[in-house]
Amino acid sequence: MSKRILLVASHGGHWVQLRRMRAAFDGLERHYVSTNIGLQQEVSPDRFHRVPDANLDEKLGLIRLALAMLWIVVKTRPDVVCSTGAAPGFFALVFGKMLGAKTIWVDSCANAEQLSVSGRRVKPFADLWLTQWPHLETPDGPYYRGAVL
Amino acid sequence: MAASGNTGWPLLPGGSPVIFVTVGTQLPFERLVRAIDAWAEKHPEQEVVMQSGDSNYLPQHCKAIPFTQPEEWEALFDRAELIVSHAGMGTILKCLDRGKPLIIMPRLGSLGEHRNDHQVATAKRFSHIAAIRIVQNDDELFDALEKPYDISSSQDNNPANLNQLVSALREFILQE
Repeated sequence: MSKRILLVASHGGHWVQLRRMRAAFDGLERHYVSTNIGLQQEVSPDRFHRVPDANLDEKLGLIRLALAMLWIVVKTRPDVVCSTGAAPGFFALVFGKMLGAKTIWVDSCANAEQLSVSGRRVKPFADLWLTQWPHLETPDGPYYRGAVL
Repeated sequence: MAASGNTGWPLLPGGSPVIFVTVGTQLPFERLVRAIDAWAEKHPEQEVVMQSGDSNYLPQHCKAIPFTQPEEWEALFDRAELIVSHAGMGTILKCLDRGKPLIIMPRLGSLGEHRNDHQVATAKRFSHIAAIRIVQNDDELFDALEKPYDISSSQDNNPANLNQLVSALREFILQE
């Protein structure tokens, strides 16, 4: 049986980057998660789940997002969780890790000067913790293993 | 056909917009909105459609939609031959992906267009790509809008980097 992977990104640049690396997910059972239902069509026939958008300044929004993500992770039971950011990806990795999935964070290449806020906070929950900029790599992570550009 | 925002222009106009301008959804970018409208006034023959965001200035000489649904944005993007944008990563990546020439005007922190000047730094990282041109002010923008662009080289992002990333992810995902 093929592995089940949960692919998480907010709409916009995070989503485009996640889609650019899609060759890495060939042959897996793919479940995409994003903040805009309009993206469902793009990934069909793969499964698509919508979560509410939230940023780190909105407490209530974050709680709603976290609960929605927890439900998706519990329901899909992924073997692997992979995200480019931002807040939805953070929660996906936290809950994925708690439930025994392998977790991957690829920080957005928009963050050329330093790692994103969610990228820094997700470190303890990421089994593979990547930056897309060689100069941001450190011996303790994040690591550089290529980029979408 | 539904009208959108306060401009009264229909969504997805039947014509074929040749230039699509997009400022993103998070912050206003009135400097670019005004400059494009000024340029469109002088070029009535040129169809320009703009996703203008939260702007006090209402364009008079081109079609402006404050905010678009993703599928509307995609349709406008697909029909365009040239994209003009702030230094938003989503738009930059889409252009590279689809081989569309792009003019970037970075938001400036000093003008209150963003929290800081990170868009200038972002834009710089793409300055080596022939199909991406970076402009800092109205004059440079007008100049770029009138110069022919080189669509053939718009795919020259580095596939080696992407291949490396895909292999690394794949290896990690498949190992037991």
